[in-house]
Amino acid sequence: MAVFDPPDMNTLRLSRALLAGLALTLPVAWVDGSMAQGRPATQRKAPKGPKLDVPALEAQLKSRNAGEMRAALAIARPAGPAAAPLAPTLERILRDGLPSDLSIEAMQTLAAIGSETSSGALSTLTHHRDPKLRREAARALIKTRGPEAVKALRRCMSDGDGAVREVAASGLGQLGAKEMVPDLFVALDHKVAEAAGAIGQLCDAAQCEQLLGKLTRISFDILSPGFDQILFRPTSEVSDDLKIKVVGRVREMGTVESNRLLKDVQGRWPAKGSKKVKQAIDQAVIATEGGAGAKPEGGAQ
Amino acid sequence: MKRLAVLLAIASVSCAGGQTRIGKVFDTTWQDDGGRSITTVRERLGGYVVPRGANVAVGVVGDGLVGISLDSGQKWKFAHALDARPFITGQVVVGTGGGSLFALDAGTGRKLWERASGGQVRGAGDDGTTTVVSLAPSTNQGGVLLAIGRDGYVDRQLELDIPAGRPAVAANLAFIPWQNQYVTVYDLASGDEVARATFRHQTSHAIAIDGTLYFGEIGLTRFDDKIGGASKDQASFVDLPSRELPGSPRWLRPGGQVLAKTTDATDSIRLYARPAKGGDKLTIDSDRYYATYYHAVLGFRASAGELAWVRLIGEDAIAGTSYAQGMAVCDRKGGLHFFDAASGAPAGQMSLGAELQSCTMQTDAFSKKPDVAQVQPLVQQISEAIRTKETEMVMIQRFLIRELTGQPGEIATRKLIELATDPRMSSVLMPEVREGLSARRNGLEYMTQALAKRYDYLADVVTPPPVGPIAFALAAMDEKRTAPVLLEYLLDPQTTTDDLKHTALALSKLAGAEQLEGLVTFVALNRCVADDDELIQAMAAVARTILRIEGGKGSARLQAWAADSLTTSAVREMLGGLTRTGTNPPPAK
Repeated sequence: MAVFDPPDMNTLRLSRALLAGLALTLPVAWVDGSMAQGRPATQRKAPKGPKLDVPALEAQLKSRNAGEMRAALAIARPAGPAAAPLAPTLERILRDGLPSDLSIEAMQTLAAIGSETSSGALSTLTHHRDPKLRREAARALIKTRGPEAVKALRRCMSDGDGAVREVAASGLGQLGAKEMVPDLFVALDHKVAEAAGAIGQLCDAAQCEQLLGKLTRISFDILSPGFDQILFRPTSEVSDDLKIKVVGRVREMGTVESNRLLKDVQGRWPAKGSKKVKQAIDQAVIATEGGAGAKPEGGAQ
Repeated sequence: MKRLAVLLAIASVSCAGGQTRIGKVFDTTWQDDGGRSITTVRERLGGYVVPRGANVAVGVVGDGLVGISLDSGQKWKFAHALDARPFITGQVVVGTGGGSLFALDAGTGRKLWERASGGQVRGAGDDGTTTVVSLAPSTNQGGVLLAIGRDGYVDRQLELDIPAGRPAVAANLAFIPWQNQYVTVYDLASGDEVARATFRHQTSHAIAIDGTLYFGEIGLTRFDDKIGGASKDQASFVDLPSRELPGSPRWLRPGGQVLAKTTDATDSIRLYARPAKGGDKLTIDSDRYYATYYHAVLGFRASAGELAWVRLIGEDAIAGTSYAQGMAVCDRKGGLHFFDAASGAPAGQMSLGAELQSCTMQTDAFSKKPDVAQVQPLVQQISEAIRTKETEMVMIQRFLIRELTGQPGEIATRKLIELATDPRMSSVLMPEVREGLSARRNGLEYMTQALAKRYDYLADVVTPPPVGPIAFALAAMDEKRTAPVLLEYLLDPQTTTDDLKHTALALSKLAGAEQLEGLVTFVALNRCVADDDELIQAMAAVARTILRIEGGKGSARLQAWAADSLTTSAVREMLGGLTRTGTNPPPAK
């Protein structure tokens, strides 16, 4: 759940001009709200929090005055889903055109709101000529979700800008778009590194094995986020046997990098996680100590 | 004995006909005789045929000459110092170097004679009995003309104090072009100038081709029963169509000049043609003349100058020759390539077997059968020639792109699209390819196929189609059906601003109400960020289209954008101008 300190209600009733000035002096932690803490605004229900003066904020957003618009966004964004009533206005002003900085702030606000209805407007922004805006639109689509977001992110994986492609691939994993796994494999073959992690999040048994098979052609560093994801998925999605197989293949690498991954997984392994898998990880960590060239003891279990 | 017999025969002709002396040789006070004297010589010679020359290629190498008979393939070598490029005439090769003048049998390389000489060869003619050689003296003033028999003895020596061209000899009469306008007929037996003709076209060569004499440089005048009309431009004359070609190649170099033994660019950029045999009107054989431009060999229709074919060779062409229904080129590595006149189909290859400093070729009565299996459509030939990577070929490639653009068939459109999307294509040529494509007015199917291949990183389509030129052509073809796909390109960030501008202009003619939403989106997305001139031009075209489609509502929309302080000043200015004038856009060209 996103947490932020509610601003004084009086602040929300300040004049627009004062708000605009205040926004420039607000502490960054407050302005960035939940996003500053690195947590996605995943909740869908409006949280308890400060009551927003929606009509006033709408008026500011429609003012076409950059300062006022920025001030309104600074209030709406940390409100997260509570600012949902502002989403249609935000979508409209985005569609009608904004300078780059305001577009980015508006998209971040829509991301914080996380309303699926915003995916259409954000999808339009993925056509923008400025790659910075396309990246931001792709990031926001991950938060707004829905079929339109999935479709737009799939398109973004073919974007001319590498960063847009990476955001899109990562996003498809986060959105659970299992139907996109074949496309993510294509992206992986085209050096879209984030596709590995996304595949790890979404793959079925055969696809997970397909990812393992990539070890002969794609560097371990790129693939390891995918293996990490597979190992931490619930047993209902990925069997222990498959996880042990993954551990075995990583162990076979016998490199410093493989040992680092295994140790990292070992350190994060849930107390209630599979004992069988844990045992395989423990043995693999020992077997890969010493880094590159170290011979693994025994085969994969 | 044979030589004596010929001399006697000529003497007989002279005595019987009363060969007359027209005055002092090369007299510059001579008054044009209206063709009387040259006509008399022509009548005296009657059906005389100059003996056919050898079919041969001769190359200059480090230690002398290499040669090959084009008939038998027999190769020969001749070691000798050289100070100038040799001349092939009739059945002999004439060269100078190391203080001597020599003649070889062209077919075998056997030395016929050699004699001491201080000059450099600058022209030669041969009639099977006598060789006339024009030598430039070491002082570079004047020169000397020698008439030498097969035995190597000089029958006649004529000091030249005029700028003489390349001479020919027939029936013991030397034909000497001079001052670029006269041909003096000099009787080698008597030492008299027995005739002179004045030419209205620059003339510095006298050449025997297929048994007949020709005079010229810019075109050729045939020595026939109309030769008396030369001074009134009424002789049998043929020249090549005037058309601009890369490097401005010439048919014949100015005659009477010493050619360096090492090749130069003029040898690689040349025209070749052969006068057609017989016929009342002088024409060009096979209606073809040829050009070389380094690796490219081109055939043109002699009647109209249109490109008929183009072929590539692996090395720079440095010499060539034309023969009945064909032509041959000699390349820097000693390769000889033969081509069919009509189609350009290869008709064989030979090799001198050595890298050459220069090359000289002669074909007279010669033919080669083409490999009909290698006949290709012209469009195919052009597109292959355009793809070659050599930087020295850029000029001819530009020329070929224009030729491709001028081809009427839809296949030319397809080829231009292929070239525009070919990653191997030189970027230097891309503007010409795109311009050519925008000028097309057919090939809709190929254009729409190209537009279907949009930029798609995952599908490995990373070179977008040339949407700008295609859009331009589609607008000219009034293909409104293509408006939806063009709109997709307008909203595609991978479309370059140059292409965007042309796409927007095309849509100003092709777009309808169905495209309005997309057009509005385009302006909206860009109006607050655009500062690039081409992008603003694209927006202006789109704004005009919105005005056309929406009328008053569109005007209000544009005014609102123009009034918005968040719109960039450049866009506000552009929109303000449009709403003030309220002009509808002119249709895309």
